[in-house]
Amino acid sequence: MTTRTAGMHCEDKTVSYHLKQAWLAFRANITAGVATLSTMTLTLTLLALVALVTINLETIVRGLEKDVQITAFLAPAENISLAKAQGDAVLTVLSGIAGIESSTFISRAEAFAKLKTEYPALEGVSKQVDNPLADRIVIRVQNPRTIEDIAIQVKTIVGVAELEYGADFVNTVLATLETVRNIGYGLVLLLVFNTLLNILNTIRVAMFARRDEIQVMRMIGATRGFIRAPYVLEGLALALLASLFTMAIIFPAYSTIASRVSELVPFIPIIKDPFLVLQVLGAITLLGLFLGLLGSLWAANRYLREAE
Amino acid sequence: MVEFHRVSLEYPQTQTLALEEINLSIKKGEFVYLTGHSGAGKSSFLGLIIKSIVPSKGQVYIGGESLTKYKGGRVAYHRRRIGMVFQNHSLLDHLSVAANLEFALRITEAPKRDWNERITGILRTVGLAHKSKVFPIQLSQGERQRVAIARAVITNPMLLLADEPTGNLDPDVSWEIMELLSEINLKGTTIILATHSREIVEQQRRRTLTLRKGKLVRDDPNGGYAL
Repeated sequence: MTTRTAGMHCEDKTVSYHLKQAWLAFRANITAGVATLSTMTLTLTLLALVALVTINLETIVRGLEKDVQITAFLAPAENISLAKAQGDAVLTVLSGIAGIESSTFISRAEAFAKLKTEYPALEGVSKQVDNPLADRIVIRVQNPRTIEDIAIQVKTIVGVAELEYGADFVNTVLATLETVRNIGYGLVLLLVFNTLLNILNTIRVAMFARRDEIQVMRMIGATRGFIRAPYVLEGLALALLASLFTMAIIFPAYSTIASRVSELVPFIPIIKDPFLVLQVLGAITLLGLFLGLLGSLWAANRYLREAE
Repeated sequence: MVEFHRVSLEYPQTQTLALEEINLSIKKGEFVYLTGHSGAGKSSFLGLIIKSIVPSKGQVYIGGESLTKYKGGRVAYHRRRIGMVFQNHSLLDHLSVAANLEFALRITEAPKRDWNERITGILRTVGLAHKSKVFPIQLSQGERQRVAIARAVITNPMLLLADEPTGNLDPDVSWEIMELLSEINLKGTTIILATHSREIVEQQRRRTLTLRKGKLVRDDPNGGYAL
C-alpha cells in the first residue's frame, strides 16, 4: 500500500522549511510585524538623513577649512629691499614652526595690485592716495584646528606687526556641526533602542503564539538553533524590508533635494554623487540587518531561557 | 539504562521536596510502571530523565552517562534518545497526522529518504495508515493518543516515557493503548509508564515503582497496585 502523506508536500530543504515557518510566524502576528517594520523604516530613514547631512556639512567645513589662513602683517620697512629682507627673515623662522603647510611673502605692492584686480573701482582712487597696505606673509596650516596655537607663535616673531585669521568662524562652524551631529545621533540612538525593543516584542509575541509547537519541539529534541531559526529569519526579513523602504524613500528624495539646493545656492558644495549616497544606504542596510539579527536572537534566546 | 543515585529534587520557590533520596536502576528493555497519587512526584521523576528539571542532589544516569554534564545542545540530543507521550497528547493541531510525524523526523534530523517509509510503517503499527492526511481535531481521543505514541517512537528512541497516556481514555481504548505500548516494548524499547490507574497496573503485571510524597516507598518486580 502506498500512502501519500500530507506532510510530504513540505519543502525538502531545511532552509526553505525555516523560511516557510518565518512567513507563518509573521502572518500569525501581522500587527506587531507591521509596527516593527514601520519603526525600523523610520529609524533607518532618520539615520540615513543624519548621515547624509553630516557628510555634506563635513564637506562644506572641509572647503571652508581650506580657505582658513593666517595673514601676518609685517612692520613697515623703509624700502622694498628692506621689506624683502624682513620677509625672508620671518619666513626662515616660520619654516621652524611645526604644522605650517606653506607660507608666502606678498609685498604691499602685490597686495594692492591684487586688491585692484578684485575691486576695479579702486583703480581711480589708487592714483590719489598712497598704497595703504602692509607687506604680509600668508600662512596656510596643515590642520585648521591648530591655527590658534600657530598664530600665538607667529605673533612673537620679530618683524610681525599684526595678525589676522578666521579661527572664531571655523570654531563656530565646527561646534555647530558637532552639535547638529550629536543631536542627530542621539535621536537615532533612541530610535535604534526603540527598534530593538520592537523586534524583541514582535519575536516574543510570535514565539508565544506558537508556544505549544515550541514546547513539543523542545521535548522531541530540537536544538535551540533549530527552534529560533524561523524567528531570526523573521527579524532579518523585517530588517531587510525596512532597509529597502528606506532606500526607496531616501534615494529619490535626496537626489531631488540635492539638485534643488545646488540650483538655489550653487556655492554650497552639496554631494550629488549617487554612488556615495548608495554607499551610505548600503551601510544603513547592514546596520538594519545587524539590528534585526541582534533583536531576534536576543528575543528568541530569552524566550527559550525562560521556557527551560 | 536509567539509574537514580540518591536523587532529591526541591522546588526552591515553594520549598517543596518533590523527590527525596531516590535510588533505583531500570534495565534495558524493561517495562516499568510508576505509580502514586497526584503530586507524589511522578512527573518530576520523568522530568529528571529528560532533563527538563535538574536534581537538587544526586545524579541521574541514562545509558551509563550522568546527565549533570549535559548542557545546551547536548540536552537536545539527549532528548532525541527518549520518546515522550503525555496525557494531553500534545499533537500540533495545524499539522496533519503525517505532518506531525514528519515534524519529529525533521527535528531529529532523520535521513529524509527514510521519512515516507518510516511514517507509513509506524502509522500501520498504530493502525492509522488510512488517516495520514487527517488533522488531529478530526480524530478520536484514542486515535490522537496513538498518533502521539507513533510520534514518540518514530525516531526509534531507546527509552519511552509515558505520562498518564490513558488518563483521558475510556477502558477499552486504554487497553488498546496498553497493547500498543507492550508491542513497542517487545521490539526492545524500554518503557516507563506513569499512571495512577489501578486497572492497568493490576491487569498487566510488571515491575512497579510507587512514589509517596516524593519517596520511593515500593519497588516491586512482581507488580500490583498498592499506594
